[in-house]
Amino acid sequence: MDEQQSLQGNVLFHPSFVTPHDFPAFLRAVVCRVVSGSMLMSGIFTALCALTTTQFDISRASCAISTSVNLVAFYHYAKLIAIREQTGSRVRLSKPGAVPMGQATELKIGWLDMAADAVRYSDWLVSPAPEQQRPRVSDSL
Amino acid sequence: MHLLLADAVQPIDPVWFGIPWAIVLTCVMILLGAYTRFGTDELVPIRKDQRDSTVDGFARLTGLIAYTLACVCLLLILYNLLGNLQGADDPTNGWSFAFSLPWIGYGIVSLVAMATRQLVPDGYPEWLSVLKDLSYGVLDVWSKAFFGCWIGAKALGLTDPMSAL
Repeated sequence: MDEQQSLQGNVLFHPSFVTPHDFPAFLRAVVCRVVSGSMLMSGIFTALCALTTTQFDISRASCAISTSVNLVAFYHYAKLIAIREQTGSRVRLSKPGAVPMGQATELKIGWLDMAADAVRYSDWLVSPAPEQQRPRVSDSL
Repeated sequence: MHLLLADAVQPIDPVWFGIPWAIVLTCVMILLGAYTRFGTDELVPIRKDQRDSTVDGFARLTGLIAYTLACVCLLLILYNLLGNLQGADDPTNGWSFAFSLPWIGYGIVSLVAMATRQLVPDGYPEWLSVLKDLSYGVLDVWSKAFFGCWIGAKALGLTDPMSAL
C-alpha cells in the first residue's frame, strides 16, 4: 500500500529514498535559503528602483529586467530548497512498481542532484529570455 | 549588460553582434551544457562491463564536444561583450568586467564535476553535490542579486560618484 502511494508522484519522498546524509539536509537547505533570500531582496530592491527612478528608458528597463530575473531565480531556489530537504521534488517512475528500494545512497544522491541541476539549467535558460524585451538603444535616442 | 554598456558615459558597442544573437548564443550554450549534464550524466563512465561499448564511447565523445562548444559560446559572448572596453574611462566598465568574468566560474564548476565523476564513476559523491550548491550559490548571488543591486543603485544615481565630478 505504501509503495502504491509512492507511485502516485513523489518518489524522492518515498521512505526508501530519503536517506541520512553526511551533510544534514537542513544545512544543505540553509545554503539555498540564503541564496533564495538574497534573490528576493534584490528583486524587491530593483522593483522599487524601477518604480522610483527618475531616469526613464534604459535604467528603468534594466531594473525591471533584473527584477524578473531575480524573482525567477527566487522561485527556482524555492524548488531547490524542497529538493535538498527532500520534501517537494516530483519524479515519476517510468516503470510502475519500480520503487527505488535498496539503492545505494550515492545513487540516490545522484538522482537528487539530477533534479537539482534540472532546476538550475531551467533557471539559466529562462533568465536570458527577458533580455529580448530590452529596448534597442537607438529607440531611446 | 549589453544595454548598460551602450548607456555608459562612453558608450561601448559590442564587437560582433547585438542583443538578439547574444541571447541565441546563450541559449545554445546552456542547451549544450544541459546535454553534457543530462544526456551523458557529466560524462560518467557506464557499467564496467560496457565501458568499451560503442554507445558509451559515442555518448561521452558527443558530450565532450558539446561541453567544448558551450565553452566556445561563452568565450564568444564574453569577448563580444568586453572586447571593446579597453581604454574606456568609465567606472561602469570595471563593474562590467567584475560581473561578466565570473560567468567562467559556472564552466569551471561543471568541469570539476565532470573530472570528479571520471575518478568516482560509481554513484554521486555527496561532497561534490555540496560543493556545487555552494559554488553555484555564490556565483548566482554575485551575478544576479549583487548585479541587480548595482543596477538599482545606478538607476538611482548612487554609484560612480567620481564620474559626476
